[in-house]
Amino acid sequence: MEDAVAPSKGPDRIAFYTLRGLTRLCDGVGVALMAAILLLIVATVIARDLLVLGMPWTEEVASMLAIYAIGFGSLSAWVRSEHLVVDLFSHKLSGLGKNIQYRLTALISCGFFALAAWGSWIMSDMSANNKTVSLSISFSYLYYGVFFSFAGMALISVWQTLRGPVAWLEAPREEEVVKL
Amino acid sequence: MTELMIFVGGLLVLMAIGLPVVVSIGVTSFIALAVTGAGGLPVELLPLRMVQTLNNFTLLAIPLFILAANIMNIGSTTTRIFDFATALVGFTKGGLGHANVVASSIFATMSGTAVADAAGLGSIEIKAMKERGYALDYSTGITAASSVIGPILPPSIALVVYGWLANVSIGGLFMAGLLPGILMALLLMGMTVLLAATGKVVMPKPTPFDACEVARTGKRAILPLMMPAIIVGGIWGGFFTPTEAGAIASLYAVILGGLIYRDVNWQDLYNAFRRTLMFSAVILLIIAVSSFYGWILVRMGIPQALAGQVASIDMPTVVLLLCFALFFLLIGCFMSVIESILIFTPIVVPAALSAGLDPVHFGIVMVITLSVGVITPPFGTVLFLMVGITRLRYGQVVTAILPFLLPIIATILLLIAVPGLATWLPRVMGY
Repeated sequence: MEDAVAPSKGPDRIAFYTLRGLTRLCDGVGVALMAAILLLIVATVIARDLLVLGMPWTEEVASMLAIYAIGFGSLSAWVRSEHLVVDLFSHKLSGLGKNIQYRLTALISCGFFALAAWGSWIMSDMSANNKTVSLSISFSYLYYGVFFSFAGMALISVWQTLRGPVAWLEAPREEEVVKL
Repeated sequence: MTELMIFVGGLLVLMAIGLPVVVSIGVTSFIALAVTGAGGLPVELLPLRMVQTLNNFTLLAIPLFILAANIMNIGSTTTRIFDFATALVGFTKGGLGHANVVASSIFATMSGTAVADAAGLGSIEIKAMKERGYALDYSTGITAASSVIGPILPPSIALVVYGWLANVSIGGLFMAGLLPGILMALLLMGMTVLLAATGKVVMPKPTPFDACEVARTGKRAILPLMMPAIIVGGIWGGFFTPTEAGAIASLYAVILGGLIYRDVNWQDLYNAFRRTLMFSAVILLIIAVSSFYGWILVRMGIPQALAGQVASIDMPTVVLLLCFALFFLLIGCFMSVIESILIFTPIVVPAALSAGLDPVHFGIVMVITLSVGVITPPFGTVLFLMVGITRLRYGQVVTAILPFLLPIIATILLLIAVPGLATWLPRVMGY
């Protein structure tokens, strides 16, 4: 999407800049969270092995940051269509077939994400008094991370269903992101 | 068995119509929950299972090792490793083929995936081999085949996921992958010797051995070469856990590229972090949703029923393991290693255990056989990478890889016949 040319006018232009801004924001926050996780874990090792100082709370914080990093990364990956897909026949479809398949998969995805977001909201409400061991952080905050990610992907899927495929969103994939 | 067919079949159908894997797994799980639940759809179970899964320190090893590989791929680390491998074994007939395998094996002990190896080292290896007069199809074949070592040698991402799902020591699995990985490397090198001896592939005249060159390139590569020792030694010595080893490896890669070699700038570093974020988020989201899928499988009693049926089959464990290996080879042709491990581990591991198979041995066989899928049609990721690097046609790349499937299959057969290849080292090291 970074290399794509913005549509010249209309709602597509607004959508383009909104989605590009969203991916940049998600990438930036996600990268910052990953860097924080890395530093936390390295600090733990140094403190424990060199200074003989235990920092057991770091595992808790690192796992929590990871949930948010995954949330931001998933949202950005959804905009960029970088989630894993087993492409059996879509490359053989005609223009109309591709359009229908795109909208159908976006619609099903939207339904799934909406249900998952709803479930996350319920869990965040139910877990308000359920707290982590070391720092007593409410589990609600963990579920908020999951909720924002699913709710964001549901909203984008709604837009994808209504708009259909657009060339400027189909950025070339990075090879490493296809499969492990 | 009917429920299993519906459960797995439904998932495959959803994936086949082009739904993203994570959505396919989630929708299948919701359908199963709705059908088997006592009325209503308790949607909160999905995020509950997801948070229980993601709130797990062990799984953080995945993004951290991927980050280490991504940072090394943007600097000169991979070139240094390949130059050293070339100086070390390049004097033999088919020398760069051997260097290719040696370099991939060294890189595998830092990266943990086949794709990272093929994407990082692949272009360097093929370019060097082309310049020295090696046939392009041979270079492509050996480069692709040697990347399969990536998911076997520690720190394998696939083994982290398997260990977490099957409740097996990840440190033990890392040790268990060492000998089969080395064996595969040796057999791949043996195939190069065979191809050279029979004249099937025209190879350039080897360059004479130069001890000074080995010393010079070894000096340049000494710091990257220390990384496997830090990872394996640190875990084995009890200095850090596999997740902490991933963080140390990433930090080490940053120090090497950013401070010592000075060939990684801030923008490169940001891009490496961003690529890691994308990849890890996609994989970890699948892992999280798969945990819900696995929970429903257990709730429906599918693994238990399958385990009972497998335990009642009267056949030697070697034959049973061979059947599992054939199944995984087939599955690996269509699904990625991690996806397959996530979907099939909760189903097949109870069955394998009830039949008397060792979980460590079974895990190594499972990961190796599934990993072959990265170089087999129709969806082998490394195949597509090779097409991109070499500009050969897809069919030509597949043909180029064919001879190298023999040593890989031989490794799998030996591993099945001799469980000690996987179980001896972890036992000796106290896992």
